[in-house]
Amino acid sequence: MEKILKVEELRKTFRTKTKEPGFRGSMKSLFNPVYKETEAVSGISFEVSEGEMIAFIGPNGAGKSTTIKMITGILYPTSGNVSVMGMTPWTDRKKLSYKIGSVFGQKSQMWFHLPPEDTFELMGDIYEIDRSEYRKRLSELVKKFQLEELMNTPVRKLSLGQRIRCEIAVSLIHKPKVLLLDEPTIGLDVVVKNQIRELIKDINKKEGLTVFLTSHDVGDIEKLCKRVLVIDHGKLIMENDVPGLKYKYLSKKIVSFKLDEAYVPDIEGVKIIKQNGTGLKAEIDTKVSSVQKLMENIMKNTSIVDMNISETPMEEIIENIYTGGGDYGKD
Amino acid sequence: MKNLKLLMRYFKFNISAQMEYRVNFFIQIFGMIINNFFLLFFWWVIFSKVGKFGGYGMEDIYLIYSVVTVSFGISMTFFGNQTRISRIIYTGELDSYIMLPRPYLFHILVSRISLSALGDVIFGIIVFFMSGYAGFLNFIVLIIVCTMGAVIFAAFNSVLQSLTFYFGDSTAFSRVFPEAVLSFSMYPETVFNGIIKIVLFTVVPAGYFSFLPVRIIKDFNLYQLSEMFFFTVGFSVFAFLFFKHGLKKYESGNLIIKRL
Repeated sequence: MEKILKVEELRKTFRTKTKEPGFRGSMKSLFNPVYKETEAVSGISFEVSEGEMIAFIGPNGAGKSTTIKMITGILYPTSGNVSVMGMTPWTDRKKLSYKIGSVFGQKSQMWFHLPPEDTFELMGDIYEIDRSEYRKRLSELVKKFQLEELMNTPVRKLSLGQRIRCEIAVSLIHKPKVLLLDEPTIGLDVVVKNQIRELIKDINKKEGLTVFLTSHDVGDIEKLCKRVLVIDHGKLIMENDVPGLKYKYLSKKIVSFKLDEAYVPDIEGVKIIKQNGTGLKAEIDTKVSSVQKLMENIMKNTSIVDMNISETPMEEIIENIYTGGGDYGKD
Repeated sequence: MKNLKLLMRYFKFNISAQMEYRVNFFIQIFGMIINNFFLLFFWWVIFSKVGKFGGYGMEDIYLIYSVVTVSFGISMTFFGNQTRISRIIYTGELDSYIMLPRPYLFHILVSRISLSALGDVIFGIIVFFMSGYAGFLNFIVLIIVCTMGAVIFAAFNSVLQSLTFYFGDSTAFSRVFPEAVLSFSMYPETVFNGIIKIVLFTVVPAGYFSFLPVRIIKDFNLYQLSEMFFFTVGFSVFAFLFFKHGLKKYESGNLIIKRL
């Protein structure tokens, strides 16, 4: 599939003034400023295919926003290259803006005191959409995002969920090819979150929209994206497909048994977490042992009444990647 | 042309937004008119005592006030964001403008309308008809020169506020110079000469904001009008390029932003 986004060796350095605390520090920095160079993004490269939904995650301050801002042409990079559909964002800004839509969960595009319909109208004008085309697109979006009832209520009176629905719809008014979502579900309840995810999925499928998503919500990543990029300290520390992430980096499985008689197995790579009568809970390191080995060992001695295998939750995997614990991301 | 359409769209847009609070809307407009009449009262007291001053009389003061308030009013009404550019830069609000397919500086300027400034325009027109220079043709000339003055004032503010790209927040600093332009503009041209006059036609362009337009209305000539026109265009281009250059240093921000 064709690559819609190419990022090569992208780098961004910020120069910040350092200041000692207090009034003396302020005076000192006034007459003799000391600058510190911070590298927010240090040489990352990746590619995104057309129609792909990709998650871009990392702890706070990892360089996610800076990267997105360079992709959209908001920031000039210190060095490196970005190509979105063959365009360089910071030089082809205008041309590119017709192809990109964006929703920044924390920056509203909607006019606070006016009903959403007005913002739609304004955006229609800004993107110079032909009137009949505009009306067709608007009714399409209104129907899909169920905005009929909200279109005439001032935005300040909408709930957060309703507002985000409007934000996403308005970002799609000019039929962009790429949609950038920066924490779109921040602060939403579970039901609304799922609703938003379904909508994004649907548009991705029907319009072939490429979605580039950053989020701290594991659900967004799990339910929407097939591939995930993890960034930390300005570096890409991992690139993997989402099911693979679970599979590959999941070296531990938790198995609970209900046995016929009490039994405690002793195998290398199996740690007993809890043993209570005929109940047994063990953690298997799948690099050393396996579920099968454990079961065979047990069944030689007694029989299994019931069993349950569970995986480490996605949340924990990501936490581990961020904190650098375990073997995650080493290969 | 399409950018003019954008300006009109924002104008309607802002009026509807501010109409949400109707009482406030009218208080703002009438408040400004009354406020300006108080300023004028001060001159009226002086001239009732001295008669003429540097060859200028109360008639001329009316004209100066008219030019300055109409220019300022048009500038603030249609380019209402000109005093907020610094803030827009350091809070990262600029992001959303960069991502839209319009000339960013122009888009920022027109996206906010200050309706209280409409009061200035109304006041200026009333005062114009009180001056000895009222007349249909002169009125057309007034609107033309004041529109150029409005653009100059907005460009001047843009340049000062764009300094934020280089030095961080420049709000306080960039407030001083436009105030100076306004203060100097309120006096007859003959009060100033020598170096001060040079300064007033360069660094603090009160000359182009008030003196030259007043001269054009009093004694219309095409040469002066074209001087005004070329200065307006040249200065606007400079403001745009200055902003564009600053953009390379833009660092954005992550504040939570609502568009009011």
